[in-house]
Amino acid sequence: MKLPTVGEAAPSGREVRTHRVHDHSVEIVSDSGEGAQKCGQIFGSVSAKMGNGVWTVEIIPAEVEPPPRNPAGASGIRIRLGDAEVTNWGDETNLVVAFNEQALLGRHRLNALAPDATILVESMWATHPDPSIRAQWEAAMEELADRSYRIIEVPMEEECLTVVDNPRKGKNMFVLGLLSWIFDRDLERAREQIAHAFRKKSEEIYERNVQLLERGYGWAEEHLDFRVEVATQASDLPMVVMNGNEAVALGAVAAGLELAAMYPITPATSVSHMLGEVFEKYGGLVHQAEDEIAAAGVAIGSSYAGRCSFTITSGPGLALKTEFLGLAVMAEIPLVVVDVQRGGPSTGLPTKVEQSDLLAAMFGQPGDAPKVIIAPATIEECFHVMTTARRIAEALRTVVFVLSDANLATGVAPFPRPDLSAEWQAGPPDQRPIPEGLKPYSWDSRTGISRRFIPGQPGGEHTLTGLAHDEGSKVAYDSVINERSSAMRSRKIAAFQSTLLPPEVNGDPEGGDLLVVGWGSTKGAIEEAVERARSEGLSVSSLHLTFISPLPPGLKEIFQRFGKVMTVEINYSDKKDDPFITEENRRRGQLAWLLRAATLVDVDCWTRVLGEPLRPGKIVNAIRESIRSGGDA
Amino acid sequence: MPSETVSGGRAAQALEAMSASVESFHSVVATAEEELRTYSAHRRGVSEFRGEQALMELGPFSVGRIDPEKFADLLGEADALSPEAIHAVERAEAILVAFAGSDKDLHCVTVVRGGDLRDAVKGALTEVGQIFGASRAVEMARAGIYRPDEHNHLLGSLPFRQWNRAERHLAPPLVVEVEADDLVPAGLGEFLDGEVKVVLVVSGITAPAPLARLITPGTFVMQTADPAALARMAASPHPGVALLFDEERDGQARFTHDPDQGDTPWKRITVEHLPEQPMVGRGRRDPTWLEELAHLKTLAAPPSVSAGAVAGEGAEPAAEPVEPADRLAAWLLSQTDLGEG
Repeated sequence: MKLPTVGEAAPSGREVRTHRVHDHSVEIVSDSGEGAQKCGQIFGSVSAKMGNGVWTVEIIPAEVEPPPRNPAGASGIRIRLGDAEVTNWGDETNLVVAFNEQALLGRHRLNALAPDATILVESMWATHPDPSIRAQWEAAMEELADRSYRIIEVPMEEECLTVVDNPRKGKNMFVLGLLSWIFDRDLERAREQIAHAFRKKSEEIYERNVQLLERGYGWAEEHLDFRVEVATQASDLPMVVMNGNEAVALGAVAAGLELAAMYPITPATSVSHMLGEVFEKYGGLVHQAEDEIAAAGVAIGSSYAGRCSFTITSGPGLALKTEFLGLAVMAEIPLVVVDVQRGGPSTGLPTKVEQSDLLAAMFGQPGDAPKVIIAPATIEECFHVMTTARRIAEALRTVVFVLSDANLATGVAPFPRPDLSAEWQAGPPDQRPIPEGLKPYSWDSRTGISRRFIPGQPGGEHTLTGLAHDEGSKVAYDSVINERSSAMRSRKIAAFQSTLLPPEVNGDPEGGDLLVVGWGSTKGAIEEAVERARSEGLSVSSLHLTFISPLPPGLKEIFQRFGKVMTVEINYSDKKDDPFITEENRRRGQLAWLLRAATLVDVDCWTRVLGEPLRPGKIVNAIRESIRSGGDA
Repeated sequence: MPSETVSGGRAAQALEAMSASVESFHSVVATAEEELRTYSAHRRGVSEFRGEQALMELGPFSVGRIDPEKFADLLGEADALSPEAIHAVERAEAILVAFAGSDKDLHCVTVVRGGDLRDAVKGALTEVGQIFGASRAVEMARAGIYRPDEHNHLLGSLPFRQWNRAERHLAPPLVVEVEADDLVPAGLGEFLDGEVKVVLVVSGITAPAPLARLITPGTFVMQTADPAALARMAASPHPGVALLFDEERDGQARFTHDPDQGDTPWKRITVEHLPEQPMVGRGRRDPTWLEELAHLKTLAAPPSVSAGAVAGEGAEPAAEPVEPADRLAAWLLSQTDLGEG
């Protein structure tokens, strides 16, 4: 059966129309293992290097290898291109390349596609020898006909077979060629990027992938009747392109961290993959422990011995590390914990984004275990946060959490090449003989800070303990001592808070009807939404928090300038009109809980746990609704 | 002894092919020297620039978020370095400044006729080790653990055996000019660690495959007459040794062993030219050079299911590579004598 094209007429003739746009989103979707993500990563990198703003988000199925041709198993990537900086994945996809119609259907059912999206779909399924597959194809086309999509058949398999024996390993580069023609990408850059992506493979594999790229480009040139132009603007600054996990890894190297102890866990593992490639070269060590608990123990032990260490994990791993993190707090051992958050609780949604661990990081330990929590908002910040986290951890002898998430972890964006400084790599810890009378916890009563002792330091001999202890690290049987040591550990955080600067308000700092407060990776989507809402005349501003423990000063005063305050988060909250929900029993977004407690302001929240990054358009709707209803979102 | 200049044309060509590694090393030295100068400047004016220092240590993420002056106040005054530590830092700075500003060629070595190749390489690396020793002395001084009686040796030469893992990865490439008669490469094995790269620019007729015995799974080994081919070794993230012949001769093997090319020797070794292996009289012990050639041939040949080939009885290797398990099975069968006939 020939595909019934829906919407505009099927491409014919050679009149090519070029659509000039400021912003365009592309999705490549396939079955797992067909390389759609690699295709998108290369396309995104080439686009970024040519001067487009770029943000990519990987579409990862919940299973490692779900059954093929399954709407729930779509694997792929969304690439949003812009003629200026792009800070989030946007709303809907304008152009989709689908390796089969079932993966496409999965995205359609999630309302991921714009109503007038253009779809390039592998044509082989329409004429497949298996009648059940042909029937699925026909049913899918019928379902897709609900929208005004423009669907174009592409004989991907047939074309790839002219180059490779196994098209499953080649369609992605053919599709890269299609996209390169549609968006007028520089083929030489694409070849360079392929060479980089396959740098560990043989020359023959590189050559074959380039042939596929050129084949796809040629096919598009011969058959397609549209192109898309998103103006490029070369940056004056040298730029780098990477994802958030790579940025964390390279940031750790730049910060002079010396040991990464981890146990593999999605979506954090690729931090250690990147470190595995480069860390040793710079004197670092990646230790894959036997489990999450051991990884925390190794990092704590290494830090105690005078090194600067960090551990990498995600939600379930964080749960397992709970006791050891309490030890680090109690024994005042500097430690950086990188938590790449995913959907929870339990094993939850391993491959999906959620700002799930804020309260667990904050309150995960029994008793009072104060720590510093920082949430980078961009991929560039994922790089630079590591230096700051290291310095704070060592200066305060405390645990510093870096809360990234799956959105940042796999998203790729360009940013200015960091101007590295040796000063980021703080000097070695002071190992001079300990002056007589100085104890391992000789707290400064004003700040709670004490000098770090390193094992082997003359005069510094002491017994390390996780039990309540006095200044000399002696187990405390006197309850007054426990009160004092608890106060000192807490005071460090308060003292550090006194060095923080009030956050800036995006929009109108003087106040307005609504202040949207966010944290972590949602910054780009929130600020885009606020800009759109302000252009509609709505009196809304936003504020983004990167230091969450301690919170920066001045929040209450800022909040009081606005009629309403509402957090926007990717975690769960009850909706006000849900059954049984009252003002008293309503469970709110995690940041909202903290802000209400810290400021006594009636902070509302709008949150979603759809397993995907927030869309600016949905936030705009929430802003409109919040202002219209007087705060109820 | 290290030479002052690159004397031979081929040595210059070899150095050119290794230029990426050379530049990388010089960049490391220049950066270390600059870092130390910055540190010394801050140390001298530490109380005046504490806020600025705090800002640099906290990094760009802190800008607009943390008040660096307040952060510095929180931590209080850092204790001053001891006079011994200051002296060590100043001496280390002088060493690094001298290296960074020197025209001296650290990368070229000439083995005098009749000299010892191993000693020449060892000496050159020891001299370079001064840079690492000085850097270590500074770190110890900053940490307050520099004791002149124990650590002053760091401000002299640092032998390769005392280099740590990171230093071995930063090692500069060496181009060694050597006469064929003095080419005894076996002694170089101890230096092939980290990313140490040694190019032996040889004059005269050598044994066919003198570097064959240096082949290990993680070592880049090359025999070639083409200086441009050395760039491949320069780019390798592994330790490497290359022999650059003065001309192509039938009696000298040309091959490359690249650790990144596979998990078996025959995948990693690319043979460009292999001399015929002459027969030696029955009962006579093979000369070393013949053993080296046979060793190279054995490593480069894919295994055969033919037990004879495995046992080295002269059968041709199989056309298609086979799994190691099959190779072992074939050998076991040959030993048990269960075959027909």
